[in-house]
Amino acid sequence: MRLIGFELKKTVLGRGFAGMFLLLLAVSAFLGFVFAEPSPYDADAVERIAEEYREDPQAVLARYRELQEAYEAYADSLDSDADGGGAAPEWRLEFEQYRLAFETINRQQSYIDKLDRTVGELKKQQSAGNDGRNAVNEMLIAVYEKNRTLRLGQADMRGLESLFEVLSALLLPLLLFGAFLGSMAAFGDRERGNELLFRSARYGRRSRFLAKTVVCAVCCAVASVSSAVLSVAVYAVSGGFSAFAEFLQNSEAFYLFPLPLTVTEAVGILSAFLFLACFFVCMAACIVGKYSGNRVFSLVGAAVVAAVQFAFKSGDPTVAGSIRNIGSFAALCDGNTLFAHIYPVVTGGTVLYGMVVVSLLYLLCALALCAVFVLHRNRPPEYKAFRIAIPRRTRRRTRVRSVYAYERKKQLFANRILPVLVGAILLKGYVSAQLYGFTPTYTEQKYRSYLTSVEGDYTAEKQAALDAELSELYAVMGQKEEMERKYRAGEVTRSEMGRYLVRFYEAEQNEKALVRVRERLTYLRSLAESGKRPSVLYDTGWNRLFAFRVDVVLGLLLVAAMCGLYGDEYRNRMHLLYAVCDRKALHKSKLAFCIGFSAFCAVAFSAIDTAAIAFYGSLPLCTARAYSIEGVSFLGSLPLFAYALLRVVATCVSACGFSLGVAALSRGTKSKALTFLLSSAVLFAGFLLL
Amino acid sequence: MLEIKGIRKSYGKIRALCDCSCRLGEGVYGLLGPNGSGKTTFMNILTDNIRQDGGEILFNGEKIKRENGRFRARIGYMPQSCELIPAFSCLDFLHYMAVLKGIDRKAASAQIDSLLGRFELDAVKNRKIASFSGGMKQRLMLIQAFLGEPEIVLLDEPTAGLDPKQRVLVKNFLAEQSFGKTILLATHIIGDIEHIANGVICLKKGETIFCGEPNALAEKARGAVWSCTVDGDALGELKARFRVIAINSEGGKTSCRLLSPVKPSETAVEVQPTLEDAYMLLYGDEHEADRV
Repeated sequence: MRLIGFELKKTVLGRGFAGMFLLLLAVSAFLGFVFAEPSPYDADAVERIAEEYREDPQAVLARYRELQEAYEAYADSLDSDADGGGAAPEWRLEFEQYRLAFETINRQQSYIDKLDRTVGELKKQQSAGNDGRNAVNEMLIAVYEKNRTLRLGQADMRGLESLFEVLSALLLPLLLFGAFLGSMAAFGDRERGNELLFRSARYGRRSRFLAKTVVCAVCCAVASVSSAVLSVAVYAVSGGFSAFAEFLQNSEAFYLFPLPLTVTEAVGILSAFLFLACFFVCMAACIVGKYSGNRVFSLVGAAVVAAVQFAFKSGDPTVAGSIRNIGSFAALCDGNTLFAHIYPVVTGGTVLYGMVVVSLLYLLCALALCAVFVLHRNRPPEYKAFRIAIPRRTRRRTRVRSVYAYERKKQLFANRILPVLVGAILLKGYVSAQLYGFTPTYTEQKYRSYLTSVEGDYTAEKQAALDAELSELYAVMGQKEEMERKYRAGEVTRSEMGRYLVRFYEAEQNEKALVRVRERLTYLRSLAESGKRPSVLYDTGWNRLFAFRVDVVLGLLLVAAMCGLYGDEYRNRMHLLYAVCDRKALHKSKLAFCIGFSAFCAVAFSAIDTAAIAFYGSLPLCTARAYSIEGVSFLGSLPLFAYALLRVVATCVSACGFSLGVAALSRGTKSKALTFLLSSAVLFAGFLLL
Repeated sequence: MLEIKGIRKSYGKIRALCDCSCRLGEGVYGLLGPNGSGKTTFMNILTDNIRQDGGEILFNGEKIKRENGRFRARIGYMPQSCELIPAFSCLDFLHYMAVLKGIDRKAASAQIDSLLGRFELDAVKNRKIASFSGGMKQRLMLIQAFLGEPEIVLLDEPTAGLDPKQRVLVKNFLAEQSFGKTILLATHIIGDIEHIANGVICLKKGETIFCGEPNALAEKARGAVWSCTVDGDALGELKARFRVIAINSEGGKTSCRLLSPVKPSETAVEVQPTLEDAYMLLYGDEHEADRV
């Protein structure tokens, strides 16, 4: 016990731990704040409207249409009135409450539909002769139906869903914390040169590693619980609970297994799940570190393990989809589905709770890793067991390099920025693929289709053709009331009404896309009238490429690379030697490295974004003038590809500026940790504000 | 009694130790050798931090096996360099080492208090190690090596970074502690073991070139150590022809101590050899570039 106490003290007081823990809490608070969507509208009023709808839907719909018409007239008056139309009318609040109520009803209905589908699938699997499987299925069906009944009685679940999204979003920062903790546990003593001393003691091997393992578990648990509690607290203070305050007192908010759970218990279960994932990654970092003998490999290995957990995400209810779900913590921890639609895992014909399976897997894997970490190969030379000996030629002459070349070698290899760079590029690739690779909505697909069909130079004929198509759609949509009247009067059959409704809904979707196209063409027409030569092209991809954004991954990479530019030299006391050297040359070499590295990273990251967007076919007509994209005014006469290059140059300049700021901070504070924290804070503040 | 028989260790093509053998009973033993002679490797093998390629170690006639916690419980070890735990206080660190060694809390407290007073660190026992000077860290390392009254104490360069007063303190302490213990002191400062060592082991390029009493080592230089007084011009010639150990200028005359198998000059006088002379005789060829 005393050994555990000392190891805990060593970890908590260790280099970087306090900073990482505070960063984790800051991120947790940030997530709680961001996800809180306080509703300015009375939740009771919304619930009352939803109940009235269940009793008399026609009356509620009629009132909603009245409010909608009044709203549209008000919106038109705002457009035409130079003074802005005056104060918002009183009925506006009621209109928003009705809108919210319908949104809630629709969302609730879709969840209940999902529950019903799942229950249907489970009932199909009931078969004679397999009592065990049938018993499990019966239990699951009972749980789903209890949740269905509960859901029917609930009004606005948005607050609860947002809360679970907060907790789900804590996964990534906790995994990073776990990776950092694991690498610290594996390397802290080695880095300080204390390893030989401690190993020579009687309890300096297995007992010490066991104590480290216990400390890792304790720290992961504290981190998971404190980050969950803090994010929930900030969420509450930010007004996130206003949408479902009654659930806090509700003793039967959910059913997981045939037992009722309150919201607090549900949060507790999710926190426990987060702890298991964090601890698993922590132990993965320990094991990779132990066998590789390298802290950076330890961090990268843990990052790969963490990334795999996000790699598979599927709502596919088939067996293959279920198996994919086993590996997907993100899917299982998805707040919108965890309790409303518990993912069943179908393995060997037996249905199990996905969450239970994954929890057990995490626990067993973590315990196995613990055992290996504590028991296997506790001698220093074994750290190098997996190293491959690369025969090197002995140089006959030592090559004399420039100061800049030495500085670059020092930063990239000695300070291990190169593996961090590689990891960041891989992460950026993954993030870009996720960001730009999602399946577009139907409206977006139609938008693209319309624009692609008239791609090229803007002409009045193209404008006229699209206007004509829009008129046709309005004609179809305008027949709705008449068709409804005819249907009620029996003048049209049910199938005719059904066919019309299909055309109506299709026209409604297409109308949204065409309205966007018309707005685009209106903009292009104004350019053409001013003597320019705009082009019609699908602009979504270009808008994404040119959009201003704070690239957090790039920012963190630059912070990690530059925070030790001067800080490392004070840490290893090289500044004493440099005091009697050519300091000017040294500063110049650091400046050159700072600018060179930042520019390289900015170009690489821009290239990745461009490649991702282009891969999904969203960068047509790169030789068209840049002013063809709405919002481009500065140097808009350049071709799009040149404008994109210009953006890259701008990104390089801003990256270099940011890096120079971090380097200056490093020189001023003389502390790597402090520079890292302050620069990260500035980065996240900029991300929030912009 | 600690017996080391035929210990071998190589790192790839580099032979760190080659058939190293010796016997260590009670008392202080000096492990001499220049940098790279294998002293630290020898120490690490004894502490079971490195596995030897061949040979065996016996303690009181019993062969020491791998991962032997009971054997490690009898060892106190002070490595050559250690950053310690900067965030811990001096007292915290010593209690931590006591826990690692399995020492009872009360016994550990008593020993720690006694040793801290002995090494003049009691006034700073609650200060963080990060604020310690190099000499204070060295003394702290020495204290932890003696926690738990180990039977075998292995000290790698224990006086590095200590001022003369502290070196005398350490030397006296080691002499006192040598009763009932085997203290092996790896160093290349002869003064550390002079007058206190019961035995000396000399390593050169991984091989044991001497193992015996200090007097016997000094005797190896009998007939080879000379003292002569010369003027400025002749000194240069002497330095070119012989290995000069020490030079002393006084009253316009220069006297030097040098090594030579034959009488180097008419005025040379044979002197009583010391351990340092013997060390220079054994290792002088490794220090040719440092000839005075």
